[in-house]
Amino acid sequence: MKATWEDDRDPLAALRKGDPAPFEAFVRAELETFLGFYRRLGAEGNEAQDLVQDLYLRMFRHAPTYRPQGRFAAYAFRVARNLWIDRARRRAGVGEGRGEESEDRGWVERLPDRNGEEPGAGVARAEELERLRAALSALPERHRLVFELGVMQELPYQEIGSILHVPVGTVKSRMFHAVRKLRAALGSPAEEERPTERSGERSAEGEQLL
Amino acid sequence: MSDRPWDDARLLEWILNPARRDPAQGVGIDADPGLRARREELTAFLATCREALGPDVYHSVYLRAYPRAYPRADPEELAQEVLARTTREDLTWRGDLRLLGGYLRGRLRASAWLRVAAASLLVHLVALPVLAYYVIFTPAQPFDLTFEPAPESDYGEVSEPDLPLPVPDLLEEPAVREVDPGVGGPDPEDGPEDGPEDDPRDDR
Repeated sequence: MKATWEDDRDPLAALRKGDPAPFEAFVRAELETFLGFYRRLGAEGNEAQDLVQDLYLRMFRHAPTYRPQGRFAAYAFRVARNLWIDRARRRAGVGEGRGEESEDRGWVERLPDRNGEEPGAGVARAEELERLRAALSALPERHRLVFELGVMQELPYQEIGSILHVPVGTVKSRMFHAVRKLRAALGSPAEEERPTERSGERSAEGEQLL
Repeated sequence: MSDRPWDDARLLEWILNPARRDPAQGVGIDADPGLRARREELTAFLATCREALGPDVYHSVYLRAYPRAYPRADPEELAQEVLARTTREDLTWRGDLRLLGGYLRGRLRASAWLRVAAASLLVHLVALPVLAYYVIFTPAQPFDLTFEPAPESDYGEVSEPDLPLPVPDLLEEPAVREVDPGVGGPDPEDGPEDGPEDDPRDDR
């Protein structure tokens, strides 16, 4: 998150008191944060925008019953993650669901055919980054979520555990596996030489999906 | 410093949780060149990930390179839409209209087929009053209905309606029998015909 939203700046607590300013500031400041969150998880096209709108609406509607518990960022990402799960269930319900372990290469497959495209000067850089994004897309969703929350959103393990309802040990393990797979996908020599870490293999990976 | 080995999982935890770091551990890492190198390598990798997957690169590289595959979201416009549905919700009919307009704009932007259908509908809606104007205000030609007599037949008109002919009589006509022997009948070229009186059934 770009800013802290605690105490006086807690958007929902302020809404309960009748002050909409912190909520409006929160909407404006963190829109890109949540757009990026959903895009990196695999939202397609305009889906990320719809999810972000739903996220803010859900928080707004929950304001009357909101009780601050822990950091607001953790609460916001918990709601965001629940929306993502709802979306996955909806898709599974209409037969579009992909297995949790399936390799979702969504956005990579959606890249236009470069032979027929004249995209301009940015392509070379885009292709460099594509490998990293493809590796991220190929991660199982539980690893991708932990990586997103820990690395991209810079949340501590404790909060990630509370958002995903898993022990800190599981967060640690998932983070280790996510980073190891990303580095292997990018051909990190250190990663190829190093044997599998004991703690990573052993840990309570957890049977929970998320 | 703990006796636990500094595997990558522990190093990652140390890097990603700055608030829970033990300063003594940092000193320990710095003192070990191999450990320090691994920490720096991991830190650099995470920084690369943050940069490559962050919104700046998304906007500056991907959206520019593949504008059709990655639609750009205007954050300010999106924020306005969110606020219009939350803290600044307008409950009057103007608000409803604005909400409907925003929804339609969003859908039109998202679907090329919908844009084509909307353009087609627009063309038809524009064409309809033009057509109506033309029909109403163009002076009508006088309606001149004329009947042209049909050309006279060389054979004249049939004075009586066709009456059904008795079929057996028609078949008894010699001309018909000569021309059409019928299926299974004798071929006229095979010789003289046997008359019906030669039919063996008549003997019975």
